[in-house]
Amino acid sequence: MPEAPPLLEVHNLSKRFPIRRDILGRPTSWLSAVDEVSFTIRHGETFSIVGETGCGKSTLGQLIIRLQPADTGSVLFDGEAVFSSSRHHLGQLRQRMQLVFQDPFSSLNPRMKVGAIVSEGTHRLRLGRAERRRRTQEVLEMVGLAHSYAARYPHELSGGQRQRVAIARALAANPEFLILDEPVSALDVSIQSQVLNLLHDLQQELTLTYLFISHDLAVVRHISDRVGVMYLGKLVETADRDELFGNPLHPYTQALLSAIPRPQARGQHRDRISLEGEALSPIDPPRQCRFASRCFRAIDRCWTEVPPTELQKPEHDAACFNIAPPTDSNGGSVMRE
Amino acid sequence: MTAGATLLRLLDLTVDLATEEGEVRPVDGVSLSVAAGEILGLVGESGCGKTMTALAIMRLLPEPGSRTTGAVQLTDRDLLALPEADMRRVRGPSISMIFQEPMTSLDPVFTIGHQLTETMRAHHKIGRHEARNRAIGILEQVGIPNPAQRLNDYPHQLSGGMRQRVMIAIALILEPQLLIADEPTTALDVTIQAQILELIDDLRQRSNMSVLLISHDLAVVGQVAERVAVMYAGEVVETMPTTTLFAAPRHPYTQGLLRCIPGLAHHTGEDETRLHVIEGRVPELRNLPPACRFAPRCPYAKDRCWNERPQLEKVADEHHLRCWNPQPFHA
Amino acid sequence: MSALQDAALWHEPPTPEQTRRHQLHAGLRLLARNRLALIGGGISLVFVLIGIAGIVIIGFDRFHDLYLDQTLDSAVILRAPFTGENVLGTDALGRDLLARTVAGIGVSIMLALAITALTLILGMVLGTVAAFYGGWIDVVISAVIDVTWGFPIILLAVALSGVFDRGIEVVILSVPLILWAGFARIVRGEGLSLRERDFVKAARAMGVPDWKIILRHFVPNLIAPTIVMGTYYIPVVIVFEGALSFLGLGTQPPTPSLGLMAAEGRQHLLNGDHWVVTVPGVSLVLMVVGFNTLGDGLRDILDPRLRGVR
Ligand SMILES: Nc1ncnc2c1ncn2[C@@H]1O[C@H](COP(=O)(O)OP(=O)(O)OP(=O)(O)O)[C@@H](O)[C@H]1O
Ligand SMILES: Nc1ncnc2c1ncn2[C@@H]1O[C@H](COP(=O)(O)OP(=O)(O)OP(=O)(O)O)[C@@H](O)[C@H]1O
Ligand code: SF4
Ligand SMILES: [Mg+2]
Ligand SMILES: [Mg+2]
Repeated sequence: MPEAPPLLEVHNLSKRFPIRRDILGRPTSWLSAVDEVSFTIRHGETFSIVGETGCGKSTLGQLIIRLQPADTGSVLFDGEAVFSSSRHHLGQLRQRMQLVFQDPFSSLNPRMKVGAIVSEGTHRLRLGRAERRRRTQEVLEMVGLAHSYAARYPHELSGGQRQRVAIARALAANPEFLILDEPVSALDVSIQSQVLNLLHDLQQELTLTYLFISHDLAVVRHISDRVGVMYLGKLVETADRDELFGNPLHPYTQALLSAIPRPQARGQHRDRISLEGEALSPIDPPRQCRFASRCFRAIDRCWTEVPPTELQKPEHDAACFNIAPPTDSNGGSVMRE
Repeated sequence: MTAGATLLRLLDLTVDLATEEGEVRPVDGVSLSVAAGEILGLVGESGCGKTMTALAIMRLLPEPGSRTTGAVQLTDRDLLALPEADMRRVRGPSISMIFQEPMTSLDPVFTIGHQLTETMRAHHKIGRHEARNRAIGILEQVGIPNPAQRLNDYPHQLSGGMRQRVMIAIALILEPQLLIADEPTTALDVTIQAQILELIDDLRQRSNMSVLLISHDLAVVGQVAERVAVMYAGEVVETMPTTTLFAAPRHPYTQGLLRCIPGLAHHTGEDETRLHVIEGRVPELRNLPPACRFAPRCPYAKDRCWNERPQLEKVADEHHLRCWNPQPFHA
Repeated sequence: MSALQDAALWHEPPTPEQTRRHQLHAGLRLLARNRLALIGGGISLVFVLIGIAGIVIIGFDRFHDLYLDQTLDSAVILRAPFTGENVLGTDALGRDLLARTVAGIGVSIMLALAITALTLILGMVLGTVAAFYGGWIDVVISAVIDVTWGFPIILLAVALSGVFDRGIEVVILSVPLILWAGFARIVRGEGLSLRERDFVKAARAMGVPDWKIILRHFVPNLIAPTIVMGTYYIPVVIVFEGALSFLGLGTQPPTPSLGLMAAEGRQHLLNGDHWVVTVPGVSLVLMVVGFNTLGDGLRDILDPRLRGVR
């Protein structure tokens, strides 16, 4: 892809949740959900965040559109600071960035009809009644739903159709940037491919930029231009899709890729990197590499310092003290086949 | 296949459920067999009747409200004909099951040590001390570090992966002949999932246990199963060795499922940006297509598929198929 | 090719008409299975109809005499039911008991509805505000709820009756001033979980103003607990009004009130003229039982989680 200018720049974003409080209500324990995360998304590309459950993916997405306040860090959208903008200005920014949630069953109000749900997305555009109706129909058509669906309630739709409605609601505002938080995780494979194709077509037609959040590596590999890997609140590796899947540098990424179950019969599998040890608790994590407790390449330094994110190669960042390319028996070579 | 004699045989297993809206039949004429020491995968999309089949085998479906017909033969006994008291002795020592929701099937108010020893003492006359030792042994086997200390932990003190291991330990402590594992890894991360699958395979090899592995994920099943049965809308539509599943499936639904998996295009050289799609959606049990249940979504449906119900028939060694118009697979 | 073979037919989920028909059937079946709700609903409906008749009686001057007309003619007073032209007999002042009971039921139901509405509005507003805004607003409202909840209504009623003239306004004020807290607590709980639901987050992310979010996403999802709690509060108010009036703190004569009528009739019990007490008394009990049963049934149908909350 030719170098496009950045649309979203995230710098050192952090978020902690208070977990325990003393009798005066002051927090004594913190859960570190997102820790000093930085990345850039270019115009028109799909940037994916992958990571296991609870690593902070959803929190990261919600911090970006200020659905939750961040502790530190900044977000620039098209050059404008999201966090310091006024309430009014934030409204305008939010119209340009939209969020699609993971669960199409809980993200639609069960007591509203599809038409009303979708037209809620046009809220910022200040349209008249008739225009709003037209816009609602237009976006429903974009996601492949006949306009008769506007009169239905969410429980009268299948899972894939509900996710289409959620996408239509986001598109109604005419955004440039979509944060897709696990948009296909709740769907069956046969439906998942319908929605992934739809997302791809919409991106082409409307020149959208995606932040795609997922734990499914096969899906991420399919849809992304660039990929960031998260582990316990930290972004541990960022690279182009093919570079990341073909030449992972961080030991966690290597282990993750080697563990993907692949459509192959038993016996035909390459060696898997097995991770021993328990994951670190995200509550009051010590100053060390958060992956060290499960890492197969940990050295002394990993237990006493936080590895900084460094450029390892052009366009390829990783945060690790003991970077090494994947050996033949694991990760990379197989991923390149 | 190297496995031994048939351990479990389902013959025309059918489940009828009474619901608010009348009777439905989530499992319709399922016939399957599992050999001793074999792992059989049961795959299919959400709602196709996998869990219902498992519960029917265990005779754990709600009574009244459900009717199970057909036969469930474990070696030479028909479990459906057993009195409930005898059935209770089958659950545990002969067949045990890992349930789909790991969080809800461990009792939060007891330590995991208590839950393990209680299970043992319900079936065997053994002392507290011995039960404890065996519990430690089994936790060690399923890969839990410091098992002696972990015995005193409550379920909420364990991580998701550990909890799933404890579930497996409880299912295995009575050394069953058959383990039914219903989506044992669905709630888990891939790195943990790989460990659990390896563990199940390992235990099977060591103790010649049979496993019915239920999953919606073809790739997961492919990791460990020798044979796979594909279910659609309450029926088995194809059974075959796992190698055939990925190389030469014949049923249009199996083929479609396989093609939907992202990443395959990279291997097959198809257009990389578009995924294969199975049009439409799974039919409702209350409103099933008249003959072949897959016909409305099938690109190869003929008139016959709408008029006459296809039967599960043998097309090759260990390969059974329910389809009027089977297709060659071009992978 | 038959019509069935149109694949598109099978790809569609049920149409709105189908599901609505289906839902109606399911609802009716649920109602039929839930005898409690059906019986309670029947009784309540009868009393509501009687109540409307009662309000008509009070409202029209022409009917006024029916329940206020006092004849101290000894031939007419304390006439037993079914003995003369007064079907349910007369009271110690010779007034027609049927007319007075019907009017009394009217007063009870009107009061109950008004007070229940006030209670629900108070609870709904404070509960949603606390849940939606959280923070110090929630802390303050929750503290008020805790203090109010469980405070004896009768105590407040007595205190208020000292401040104001005795009368029906005491009832009106004291009941909602206490009862709202229980409802607000339920609303707040539901609201807290609604606030975390993705569709509320989605609306916030799209910049929908707070009041619209509350109106569109909170209120419609709070209808079930509102109906259930509403049917609970009605009998509570009826009993309370009856009790206060019985004690002489509530409705003042000559306005008919079931509690007051029972109180006035007490002295005649010993003479064997029991109907003066039993007619209003039994009506009161029946009405309360009816609404209570309806409330229990509706709770089981609409929101089983409210079991034991009250
Ligand atoms: N409001 C909150 N209060 C306290 N902890 C929270 C809160 N929201 C999230 N967390 C914690 O922050 C961590 C990250 O959560 P997040 O939902 O972002 O994870 P995720 O990567 O999206 O996970 P999943 O794949 O399960 O959706 C988790 O440990 C979670 O328990
Ligand atoms: N109690 C019930 N009453 C009525 N129908 C039911 C009931 N439980 C399950 N079903 C229906 O039976 C069918 C089979 O359900 P089952 O749980 O076996 O599916 P499954 O294959 O295990 O799906 P999943 O992958 O979602 O677990 C579904 O269509 C479901 O809607
Ligand atoms: S029987 Fe016909 S409709 Fe059914 S799967 Fe085979 S070809 Fe398709
Ligand atoms: Mg998430
Ligand atoms: Mg299931």
